[in-house]
Amino acid sequence: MAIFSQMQFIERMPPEQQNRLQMRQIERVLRFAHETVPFYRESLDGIKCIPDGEMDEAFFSSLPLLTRSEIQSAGLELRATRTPPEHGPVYLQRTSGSTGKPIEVATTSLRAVMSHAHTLRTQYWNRFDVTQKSVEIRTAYKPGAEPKNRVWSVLPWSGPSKRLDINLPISELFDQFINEAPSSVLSHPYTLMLLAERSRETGIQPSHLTTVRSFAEMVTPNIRQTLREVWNVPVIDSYSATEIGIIAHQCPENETLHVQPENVRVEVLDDNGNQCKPGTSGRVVLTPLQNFASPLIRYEIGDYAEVGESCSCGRTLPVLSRILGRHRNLCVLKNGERFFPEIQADLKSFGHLRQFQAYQKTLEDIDLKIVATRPFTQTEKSEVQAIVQKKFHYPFRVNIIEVDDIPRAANGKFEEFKSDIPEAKIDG
Amino acid sequence: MSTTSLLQFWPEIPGQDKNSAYALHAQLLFTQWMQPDRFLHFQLRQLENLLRFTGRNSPYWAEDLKFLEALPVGELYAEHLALIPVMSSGALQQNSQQIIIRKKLANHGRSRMARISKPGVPPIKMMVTGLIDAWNDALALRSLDWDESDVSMPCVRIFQGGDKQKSGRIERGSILPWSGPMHVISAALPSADQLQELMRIKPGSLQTEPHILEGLLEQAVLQGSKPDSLREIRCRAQSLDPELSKLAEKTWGVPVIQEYFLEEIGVIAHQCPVQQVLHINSEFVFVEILNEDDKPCTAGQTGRVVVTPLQNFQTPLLRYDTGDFAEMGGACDCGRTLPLLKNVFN
Repeated sequence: MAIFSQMQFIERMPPEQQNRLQMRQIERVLRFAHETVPFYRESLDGIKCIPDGEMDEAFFSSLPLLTRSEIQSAGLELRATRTPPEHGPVYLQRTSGSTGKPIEVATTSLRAVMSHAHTLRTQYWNRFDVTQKSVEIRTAYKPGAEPKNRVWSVLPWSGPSKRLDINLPISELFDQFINEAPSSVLSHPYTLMLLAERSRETGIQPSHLTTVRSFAEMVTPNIRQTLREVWNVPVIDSYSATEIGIIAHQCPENETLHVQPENVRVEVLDDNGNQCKPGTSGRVVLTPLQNFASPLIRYEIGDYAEVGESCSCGRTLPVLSRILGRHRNLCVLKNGERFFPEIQADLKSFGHLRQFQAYQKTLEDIDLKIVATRPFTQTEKSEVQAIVQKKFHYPFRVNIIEVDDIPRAANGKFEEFKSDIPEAKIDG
Repeated sequence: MSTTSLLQFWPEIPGQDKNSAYALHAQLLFTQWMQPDRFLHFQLRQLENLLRFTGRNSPYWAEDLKFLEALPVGELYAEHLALIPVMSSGALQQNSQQIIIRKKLANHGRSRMARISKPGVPPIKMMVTGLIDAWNDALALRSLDWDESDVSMPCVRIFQGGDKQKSGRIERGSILPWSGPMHVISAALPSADQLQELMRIKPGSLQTEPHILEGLLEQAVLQGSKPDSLREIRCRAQSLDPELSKLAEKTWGVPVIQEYFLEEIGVIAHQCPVQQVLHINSEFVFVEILNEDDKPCTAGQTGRVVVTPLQNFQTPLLRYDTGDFAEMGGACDCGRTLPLLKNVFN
């Protein structure tokens, strides 16, 4: 709660002051990393020549980017030999592996403190009634590991929180969700949409639901629309990563995302490595500010985002207008062009289509899995192929595969499009 | 590298001394918007805790609180307060030593004796806990948040009485780690000298009392002096003459923010950031506005201000008559559900 109290003042600080104070924290991370992390001993040596308190953005921006592969190969070299005692005990955090390259970082219990503070911030921003019941639908605790008497806030008047297993079949998950009758639900956007679709099919509405919060995947306009139509609730999104913690929360007044500068420095870089201007998009580069156990400095996480203008809500926190996706969600053309394809809105015109997933196998082939309430006719298939070719800006061979179900990944995530074209195939 | 330079303040991980204040402020952020019936429920539970503790531990109050013995736990309502006699400031003067409960309290921090000075009456002694200090810091954070103050700027404090007489610099304007310095200017100095100091320090915020502000503004008009850095004036007062606010606005172009403050209680109410009314700090103090028949006033009616601080268990002041009068307000346009006071006077 002490951290959250201070965050209330930080979010209205003049941007220059916010940036200056954040830079001091980055300097602390860098000096600590230089002193205690073997991986950074050489690359951060330049900081020795900078007087205490005077590291500037130019120095920070000159530091090399850190890739996932480097984190994997660095192993223990990226761990600090000690951590500040006030940050609490050290433990390991492992990503789900949805990128195919799982990474493991050390962190401290300060992460949990920051996480509680951020929960309070979203509860406060959105005026949630925290006395009510909350449900979190995410990967399950190990059997028997669910803590008793979980609450969804550290406030003393907080209501209970229950975790449901995201990997349950949707019909079973839906029944549990309805039985819990929460006021608030947190889950992956795609799972929320499947639950809402189930609600539409069965005519059973969640009786007390007022708040829907999402994380871990992109919220498409289609998902927002479905949840509004079926449950009459807006989606409050957040952007986070296992190895980082919270990165951004949705503004309570519009659908843009406010970067959380207390937790992480966010850079959005263009192809030349320059900072993107509002309205343009680029690679997301992150520097967590509270993890002294495995300092990640200028970590290129593999996501793409668009930088937003300053927000009309009055908060001075930096803005991302949207997250475009991960590197693997980029469609790759022969000429080297890359883009995030969007076909959901067009395919929605086929009323019997329930689910789809596109996969780029080669520079000429797209596999499109579909789940429908009846088989697609040949004419419909031709129409679908034409839509994909138009939206993907290339006459791909579109291989339509009709299936009974498209399961979510083991971590509960779902991606509508994935590309398997290695970087080298184009760049080389 | 020194350990000090590793200590973080973005945000800071506070020690126990500040942690309570921050934690209280975090809760105050939520309670200000709480549904009134739920708020009253929590407030009455706290009041009941205070009364039962006082009844058990204070010979001074024991007789007045005997009715609690027959009352089931959790069943205290606002109406029960009428069973406790209103306490005058004279009674506090005469009985302050007997009122103090010297029992050590877990989770209330270290106790200390505080000397309360008010103009025209002999000083009294009250026992204050570390928790009360934390509450004062938390309420100060609430006011800084409401007024969107730039806490990084220097702040000047000029108050009459007690240990605030001496000029000099003290640590920080608030507990926030990026707070600017707080300077104290002696209230004993002539207004011209105070103004000179003010011009030298260039504060963003001035905290003072109406009669001191009046003197400063008179001097400013005479000299044509204007502290350009000044963004706000916080005036601790039972009542604030609207003409003084207008004069400050005209002379220095800055707003005057009123805090309804009593030395023996703390900040009872703070000006709403949206309109000229006072929101009661109801988490900290239970306020009754009583008519001539000692019945609670409804919105729009004016009566005596009688207060029960909810957090001071070592010097419990139950139904303390402030000697002030105020109009009970209704709902506020700002959306905060904290009760309103209008037009406080004495």
